Amino acid sequence: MMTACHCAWVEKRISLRQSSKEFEAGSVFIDSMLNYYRAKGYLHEDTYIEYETDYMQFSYNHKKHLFSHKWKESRWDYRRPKVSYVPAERNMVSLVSNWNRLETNYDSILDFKADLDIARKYVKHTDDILGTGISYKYDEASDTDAVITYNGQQIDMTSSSSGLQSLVPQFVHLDYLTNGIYKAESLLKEKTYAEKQIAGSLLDSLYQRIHIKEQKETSEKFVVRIEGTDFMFREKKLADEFQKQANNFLHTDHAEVFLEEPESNLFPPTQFQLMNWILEIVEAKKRKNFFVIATHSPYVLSHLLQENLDDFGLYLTYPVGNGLYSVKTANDDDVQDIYDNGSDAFFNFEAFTER
Amino acid sequence: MKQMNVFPECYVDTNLVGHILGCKVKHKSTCNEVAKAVNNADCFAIGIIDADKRLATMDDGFYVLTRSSEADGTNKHITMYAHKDGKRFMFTIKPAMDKFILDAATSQNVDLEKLGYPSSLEGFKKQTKRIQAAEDSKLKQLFDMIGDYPELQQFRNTLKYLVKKQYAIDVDVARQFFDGMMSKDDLVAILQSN
Repeated sequence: MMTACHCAWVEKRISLRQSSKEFEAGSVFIDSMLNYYRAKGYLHEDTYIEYETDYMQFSYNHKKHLFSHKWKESRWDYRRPKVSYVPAERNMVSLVSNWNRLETNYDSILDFKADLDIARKYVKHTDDILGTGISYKYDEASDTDAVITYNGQQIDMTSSSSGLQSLVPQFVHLDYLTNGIYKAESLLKEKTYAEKQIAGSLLDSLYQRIHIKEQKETSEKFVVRIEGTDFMFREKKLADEFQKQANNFLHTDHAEVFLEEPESNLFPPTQFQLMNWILEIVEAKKRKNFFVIATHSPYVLSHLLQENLDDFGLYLTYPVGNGLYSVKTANDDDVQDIYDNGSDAFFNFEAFTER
Repeated sequence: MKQMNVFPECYVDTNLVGHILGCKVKHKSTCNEVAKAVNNADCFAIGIIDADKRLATMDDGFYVLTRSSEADGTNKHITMYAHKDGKRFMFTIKPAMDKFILDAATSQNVDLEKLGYPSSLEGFKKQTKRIQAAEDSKLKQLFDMIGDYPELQQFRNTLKYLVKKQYAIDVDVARQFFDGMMSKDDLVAILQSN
């Protein structure tokens, strides 16, 4: 899952810069991944990673320290996602009140904390989280989080139960990613110098590509104003195309969430409530959000299987000896057998992976 | 309180079936767990699942006993399966229990909003998916208000008959209750005769 999330992030970075140069220098691709996910022990001399979507294809060969990238025909149809890794250790951010003062390298946990920081300042308050009767409150003045129980008692997040310490950050973060982020982005916010540079360069690339198609000799002019710059077109159709592509690249279109063990520390019925909520997010037609979920919970697994989702894939990770693991894509028969096994599926794993 | 060997899956199914039978039932987390429980039972057992979920493989001995039908012959909501052993039964609700209840409320002119429920299916589903729906007293009130809906009456009579007779079930009598050919009075007579 870490590899998939890293590749989705690399794809976004390449798309927004319209260049893969930064990953072509030696082992930058793999080093950035190992540091971010604290995964140094997992690298092998012959590690090879390949990633392909409608927009691009890239691979990394660790033996040769070689990163190769190729654009695909649909590269301009890319829609900017918010890529987010939600680590299983997320309750650490609830447990440590003065997290900001800790000296640690930039990694997935710290990044989650940074994202959560934005989310909680936006969300501020949520009533009755997932029907648990528990509410959440962020206090800006003291920069602290609290939960409020059914009887109105306020408990500091650092002193709350492990289940709430796992659930609340996950809920607040995902609520923001799939809902609040779009409202927050619509509010005017001054971009940093680096952000302006990236956006400017991207808009130039988009403009050059579309402007070159103009053939009409006309005095008509259509101006598209984006990020304080005017882009001139003689054909309305092309101006509209530019506007649409610029929006797709500059504004978050959907969330790509890589969620580790959403069930951590949760009472089984609450796991169901959480999955119901995630399924609502996935099934909402407005955004094409997608989730990659790693789970050890039979409840989460059975719940996802019984919903008969259209765009659903089940991948089984299993050991193949010598400390190596393989991943199998479950076919329809596997899915039905796993479903029929219900809560015992994890105890019969070999039956599904050895055929 | 002893739990009856009746296995519903959704919270609202659990509430309805418990309300009909006046006892605790064994709620299952997912449809596959209902199927597993009924498939593996070597005693009297009833499973109740929604038809819009992935169907778990049922034991080969199950067959469709009867289904409630619209005037045009299409399946209304409930299909009843019986096992060849005569002591295990499954009910599937099409598309799901919340829609069945909503249709019953519409037919009985019950205003859901007066009970504090949204009248739209999506809104109602949000309420019935909550854990609290398994015990919600407002839902029990709603079940009483829609009690005259024929398909619910027949489902209720069938369930009561099955649970009462357990190992002495006459499958043909069960089918007649389900099809509405036998009524609540017949049920009372049968229950009193024992």
